[in-house]
Amino acid sequence: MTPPAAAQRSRPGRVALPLAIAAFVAWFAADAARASFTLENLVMVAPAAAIAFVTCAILAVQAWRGPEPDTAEPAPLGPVLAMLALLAGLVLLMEEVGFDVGVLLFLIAATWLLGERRPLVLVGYALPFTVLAVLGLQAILPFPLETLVLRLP
Amino acid sequence: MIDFAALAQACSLLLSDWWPWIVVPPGLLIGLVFGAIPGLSAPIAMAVFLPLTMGMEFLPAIMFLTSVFTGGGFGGAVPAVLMNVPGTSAAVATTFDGYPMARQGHHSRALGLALAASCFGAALGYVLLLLLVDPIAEAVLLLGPLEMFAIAAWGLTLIAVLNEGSFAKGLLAGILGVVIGMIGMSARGDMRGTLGMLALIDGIPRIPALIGFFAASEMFRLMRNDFLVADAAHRRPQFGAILRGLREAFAYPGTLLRGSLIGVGIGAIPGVGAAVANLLSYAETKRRAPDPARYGRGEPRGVVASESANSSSEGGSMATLLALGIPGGSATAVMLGAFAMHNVTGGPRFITENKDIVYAIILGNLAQVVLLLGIGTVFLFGAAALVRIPVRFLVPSVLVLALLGCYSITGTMVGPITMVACAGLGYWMRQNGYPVAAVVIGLLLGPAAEAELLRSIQLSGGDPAFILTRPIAMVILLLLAASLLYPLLRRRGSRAGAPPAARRDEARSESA
Repeated sequence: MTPPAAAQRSRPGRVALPLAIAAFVAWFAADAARASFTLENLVMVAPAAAIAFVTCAILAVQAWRGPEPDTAEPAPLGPVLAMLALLAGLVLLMEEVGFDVGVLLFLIAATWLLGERRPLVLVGYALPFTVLAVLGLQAILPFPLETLVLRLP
Repeated sequence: MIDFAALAQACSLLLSDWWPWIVVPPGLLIGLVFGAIPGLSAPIAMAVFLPLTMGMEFLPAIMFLTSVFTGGGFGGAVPAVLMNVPGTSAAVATTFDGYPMARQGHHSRALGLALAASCFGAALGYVLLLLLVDPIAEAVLLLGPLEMFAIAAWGLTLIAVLNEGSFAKGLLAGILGVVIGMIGMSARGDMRGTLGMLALIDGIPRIPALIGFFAASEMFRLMRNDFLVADAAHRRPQFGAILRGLREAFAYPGTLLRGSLIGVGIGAIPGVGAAVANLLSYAETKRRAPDPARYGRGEPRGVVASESANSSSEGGSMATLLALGIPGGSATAVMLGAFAMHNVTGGPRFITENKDIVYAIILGNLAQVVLLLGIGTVFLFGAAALVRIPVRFLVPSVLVLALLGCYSITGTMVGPITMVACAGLGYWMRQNGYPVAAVVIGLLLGPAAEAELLRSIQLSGGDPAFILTRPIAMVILLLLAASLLYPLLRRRGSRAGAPPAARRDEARSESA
C-alpha cells in the first residue's frame, strides 16, 4: 500500500531526529574516548552510546516505514520558527542593547506575532512588564544587569 | 527518641517571644512568590533575604529562612500546574499530571491537591524528624557511593515508565538526556564534549535546560490556542474547587504516605533530595496503579505523589543539616550560612548541647506547614487567575521571565542560550512524539549516577564482589528489581485470574 502523500513528504523529517541524535551521541562518545580511553571514563558513555545507536536504528526504520498514529500532530511551523528566532535574537542582542531595550522589543514583537495589532495595547502591556521585570531582577541579583535606560537608584 | 524536657523548653522558647511568629507569614509569602516565578526559587529567595536575618536572634532568623524554604517548596507547583514550567527540578513530576489537569479546566482542583499533598508531606517529614533526628543522621553516614548510585539508577528507571506509546522513543530521549548531562568535566577530571569552551566545564546548566525542554517548548505549542483553558466557563478561579482539591488529596492515603516516606528517606541523602524524590514517588505510584495508562493525562494521584515527596524531603534535608551540619542542597546551604552568621555550627554536638533549639526549629516548621495551608489557599486563588490571561500575552511574558530567570541562575548568557537551544530541541522532539520529560530525567540523574558509579569502582578496585559488602545497596537494588517486576507479575496474576473470555479479549486487543 502506498503511504499518504503527507506521510511521504514528512518522511525525511521524521527520520532526521533519530539520525541527529545518533550523530550527536557518536560525536560525544568519540570525544570522550579521545579524552581518555579508560573504563572509568567510559563506564556510562559506552553503554549509553550502544543503547542509543540500537534505538536510533529501530526508530529510523520505523519512521521511514510510516507515521505512528499517536505522533501525528500537524502544526504550522512558521510562527514557532519566528518565535524561536525572536528568542534567539533577544539572547544575542540582550547584552548589546541592554536587557531593558531587548526585553521591550521582544515583548512587542512576540505579542504582535501572536495576533495583537493594537499599538496602544502592545506598548501598554510591554512597557510596564519590562520595567517591573528588569527593575525587580536588578533588585534581586547580586551582579549587575546590563541596561540602557532602567537603573535602580 | 524524644527528650521531653528539651521538648518542653522548646515550646517555652517558641511561646515566650513574638518574633519567631511575626517573621513566618512574610517568609511563606516570599517563598511562594519566588517559587511561583519560573527561574527563581526558594534558595535564591533565601540568599536574597539572608542579610535581613543578621539583625535577628538565631531562632527567628532560622524560622524566617525555613518559612521561605517551606513556601518556596510548594510555590514551584504553581507554574508546574498552570504553565508546565517546573521552576525547580523538585517539581518536574508535578507537571506530568498537573498540567494536563489545568488544560482540562481543573487547574484550581490540581492546585488544591498539590497544596494538601505538600502540607501533608512536609508535616509528616517534620514529625519523623522530631522522632528520629538522631537515627536518620546515623543512617545517612552509612550511605556510600554504591548506595547513591542505586538510588540514582532507581530514579532513572522512570524513563521506562514515561513512554507514551513508544518505549524506544522514551528510552532514546532518556539516553539523550544522560549524554547531554555528561557534557563537561567528568568526576575523574576528563573533559568531554566541551568543544574547548570554558563555559561548558561545569556542564550544561541543568535548570535552564529543564526550563527550555519543558516550559519554552510548551509555550511554542500553546501558540496555537487563544487561552490556556479552552472552555471559558472553566477559566474562572474557583475557590470551591481549590478546597475540593485539598480534601480530595486525602482520598489517596496510600499515595500520600508512600510519597512522603520516599521524600523523607531520599531528602536526607545529601546531594540527592527533592529532585529525585518527586520522580521516584511518581514512578512508584504509576507502577503500582491498576490503571497506569491514566497517568500523564491528568490523574490526581500523579500530582499527590510528586508533591508529597518533594515537600517531605524538606524534613529529611533538615535532618542532615541539623544532625551532621551537611547541607543536602542549595537551600540548606544558605541556611548553613545563617548558622555561621550566628556562630552556630550544625552537627552531633549542636544537637546534644542545644536539643531545645533543634526541637524549637522542628516544631516551628510544623506550625509553618499549618500556616502554609491557609496562606497558600488564598495565594492559589490569585495564582489560578493566570489561566484568564490570553495566550498572546501569557507566552511572551513566561518566555521573558524564564529567560531572565535562567540568566539569574548562571550569571552569564550561558543560561539563556541553553534555554533557547533546549526549547528548539524540545519542540522538535515533542512534534515527533518523544517524551521530553525523559530527557530531563536523564539530564538530572545520569551524571549523578555516573559519578557515584565511578567512585564505587575506585573504592572497590573494580571488584564486583564489593557489592556483597554493602547490604544497604543490595537491599536498594533488590527493591528496585522488585518494583520493576511488580507490574509484570501483577499483570500475569490478573490474566491468570481472569475468566477465559476476558483473557481472549485481552489477547485480541494486544495483537491488534
